Amino acid sequence: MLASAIRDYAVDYGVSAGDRTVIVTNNDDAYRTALTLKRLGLVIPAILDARHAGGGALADEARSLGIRVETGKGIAKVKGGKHVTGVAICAQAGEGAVLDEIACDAVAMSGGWSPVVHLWSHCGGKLIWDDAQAHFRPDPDNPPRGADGAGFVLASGSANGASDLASVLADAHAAGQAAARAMGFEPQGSAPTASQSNEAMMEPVWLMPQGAAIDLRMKAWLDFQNDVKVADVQLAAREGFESVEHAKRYTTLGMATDQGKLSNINGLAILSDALGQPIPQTGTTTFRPPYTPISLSVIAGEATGENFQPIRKTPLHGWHEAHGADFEPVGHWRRPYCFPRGEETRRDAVHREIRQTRASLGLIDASTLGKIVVKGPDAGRFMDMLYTNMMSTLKPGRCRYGLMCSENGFLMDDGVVARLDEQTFLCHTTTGGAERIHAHMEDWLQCDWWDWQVYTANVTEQYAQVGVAGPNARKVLEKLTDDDISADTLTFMGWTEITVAGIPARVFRISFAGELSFELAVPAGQGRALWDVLIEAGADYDVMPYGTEAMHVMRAEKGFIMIGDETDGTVIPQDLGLDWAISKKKDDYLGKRAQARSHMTDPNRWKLVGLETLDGAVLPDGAYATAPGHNANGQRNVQSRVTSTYFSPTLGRGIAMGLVHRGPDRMGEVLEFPRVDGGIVKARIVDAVFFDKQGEKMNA
Amino acid sequence: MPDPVTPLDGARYEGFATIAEAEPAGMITLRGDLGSDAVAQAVHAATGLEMPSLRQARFGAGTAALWMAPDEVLLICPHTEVGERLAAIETALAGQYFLAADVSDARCHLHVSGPGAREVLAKLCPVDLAPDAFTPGMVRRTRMAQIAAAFWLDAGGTFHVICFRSVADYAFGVLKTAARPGGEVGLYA
Repeated sequence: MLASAIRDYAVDYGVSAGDRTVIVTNNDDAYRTALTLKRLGLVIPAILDARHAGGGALADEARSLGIRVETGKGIAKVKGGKHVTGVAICAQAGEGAVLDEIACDAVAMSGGWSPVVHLWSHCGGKLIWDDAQAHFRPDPDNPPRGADGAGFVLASGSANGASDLASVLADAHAAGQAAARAMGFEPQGSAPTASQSNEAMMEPVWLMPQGAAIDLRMKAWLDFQNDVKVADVQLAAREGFESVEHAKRYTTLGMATDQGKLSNINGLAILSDALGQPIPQTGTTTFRPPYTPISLSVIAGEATGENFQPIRKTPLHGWHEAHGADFEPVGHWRRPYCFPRGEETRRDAVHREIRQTRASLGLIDASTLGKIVVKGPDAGRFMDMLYTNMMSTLKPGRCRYGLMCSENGFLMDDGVVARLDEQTFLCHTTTGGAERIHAHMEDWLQCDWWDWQVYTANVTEQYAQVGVAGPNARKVLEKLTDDDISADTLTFMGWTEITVAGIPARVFRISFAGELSFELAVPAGQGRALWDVLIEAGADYDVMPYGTEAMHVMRAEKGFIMIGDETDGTVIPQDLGLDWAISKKKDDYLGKRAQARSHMTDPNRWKLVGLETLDGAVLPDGAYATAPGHNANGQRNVQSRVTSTYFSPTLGRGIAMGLVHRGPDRMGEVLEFPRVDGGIVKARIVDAVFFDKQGEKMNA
Repeated sequence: MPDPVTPLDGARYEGFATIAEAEPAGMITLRGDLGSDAVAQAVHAATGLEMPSLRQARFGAGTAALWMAPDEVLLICPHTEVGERLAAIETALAGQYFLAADVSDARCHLHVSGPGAREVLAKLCPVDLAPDAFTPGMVRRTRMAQIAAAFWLDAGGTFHVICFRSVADYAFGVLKTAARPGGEVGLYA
């Protein structure tokens, strides 16, 4: 233990670290520990003073009390396993040959003192190396400076490098006077005085013994908290981590809760020695608060318990909770994955929800979808640049599915766009894309097309949105509205404004499930009321709410892509067979140029197809199909990756989509997908649309 | 139009400040050239108020006009009047380049009041809330713990905090925690 700590334990808390304490030191202060313990009746078997000349007055006092004092000596080894049983002593100037062994229970060590420079350094002040005292202290010529270039911190006393009481008092008094003058006062009075103590100079001891061979250096700890040894720092230097910042991170020296207060100077000295350069040339890392450890709760602040993280809740969240929803996180939102009933498993619940939606009627909370209004005289032009499709030709009252690419051509988001009026579009984004896509729009408008007359507004949270899907969707809505939503009036991909049970709503006739489907958007506060009347009116059709998993399976049955499943930031729309959604007539759109690059038009790209297992099993998600031969790393070549895979309750078998090397050219071929647990799943390349290929259901 | 439904059902908490959900209000986002006479007239037509300047809030009877961004103001009016006030804006700006949207249901609106109100917000937002630094009629868009929020101080000393509706529970939760008795710092006492 540090000699000062042993002294504090004894004096402040009445705790003895051991019956017999050997002291090892390079300065006079540790003698105070010896004298204190001795006077408390404890045994000091020896004081090992690494300095050849030994100490000053305190050393004489120790000798007079009968304590054995050895000068020029150090500790070669500490004996003991679970606790200290003794020390082997050696000459500090030697290589560690054992001269004597002394039985003891504790070792009190002292390597000298360094000023507390953390606040000074943290504020930007520089340090200088004080060779005489072997420490870094504040450089008075380079204090922390304010905006006006003047220093704004004065260090005083011990923090300024003064060591004994008399110089501490003198230095602190001078600093106080300087501060008073800086404030415009005339200081008065004189410094209190202390008698000059007769202390011998400290001598730096960076390694004990100084000629320690590798076996001893490997046990010579520098950082007691992170177990960094002399040998580790020397290895860092040999490996090329010569900058003190690099050596610190390579070894973790000084990165424990003491933040290097015990180890940094010793570590820097060892590093300097290994690099063959003086200590000031090696420099220091920046000393910073926290000076004393702080608890994690201080850092966490209010972010604990219910305030740990904001959870985004839709206006229907309370209903979902009350009806046993099994939630999953989607961004910060929580969305129902499914609504298990009774003892039902998740899988059973998902299958029931799908069967019921396909057979009759299902409801989904689609409130989390992003909704961004784009308005202005240049809105059409802007939309044509944002989406790969031609959006400017969309008629008010109509909807169009659109794709958005990054400047590099990669598919980044998709969704249905509704034209509200001549100058206004409503863009639906993915749940996770609302903020990102809004920022993307503003980025282009503010930085590149700043002279285009377009405004955007993210109105995602203004609306609750409910998907009503299934063969009976129109019937249930017709019970709740007097407005005309017949197949002839509100055709597929149309939208209109209606009143549902007294609630004003926009109704979009769009479909992600592949069923006859309406999405209703109402003011968020009316969302719950809308949901309640739909549940009530839908009872005749045994309506069931369905979750995100049923939605995923149903869209996969239809071969609809999902951003984040079929895309991963490296996929372009052409890979997914979405050429129909890429306008050939437009001069430009974001990503167009990138998609013309040779790698993007390479016929060898992996492209989306359906995958049908030969035995009806479900392909493992993310599985790769092998190809003949091995690559440069000796791994099997691959030719396909599964992007979406589910059991389809509608078809009673596994269905999947995947990206396959030249996939669309290879219909009917059988690929082999090794399983993680061994074995192989064989799957045939098929069309990605597994269900209702003609779209008769959603056009009903 | 059915009666408005607020996200917190009128929740209220009495700590060393009072946290209470505000009554429903109409809110309109208006984007346009705030320096133009036409947009100033639209703001006046909708609220009877002058255009607020940088980070300024203006108040009327049941109305407010709040600076949000160099090209955006938030207008507050009685909930039942949103339709007609939107229409007034559309009329005032006919043929102009602007965007006005009803966002009355998009947000949670809370009042933080009482002597400890400044301190509660100071704990959660990186804003100088000293009495001489943040004065009535000021509005600030900022961060409240982990969410985006905005607040303004009315003439009666009540802070109005708005955030998105989906995080209403979180907003109420952190304000409640910050106002819990025993947590007084006394910074502005």
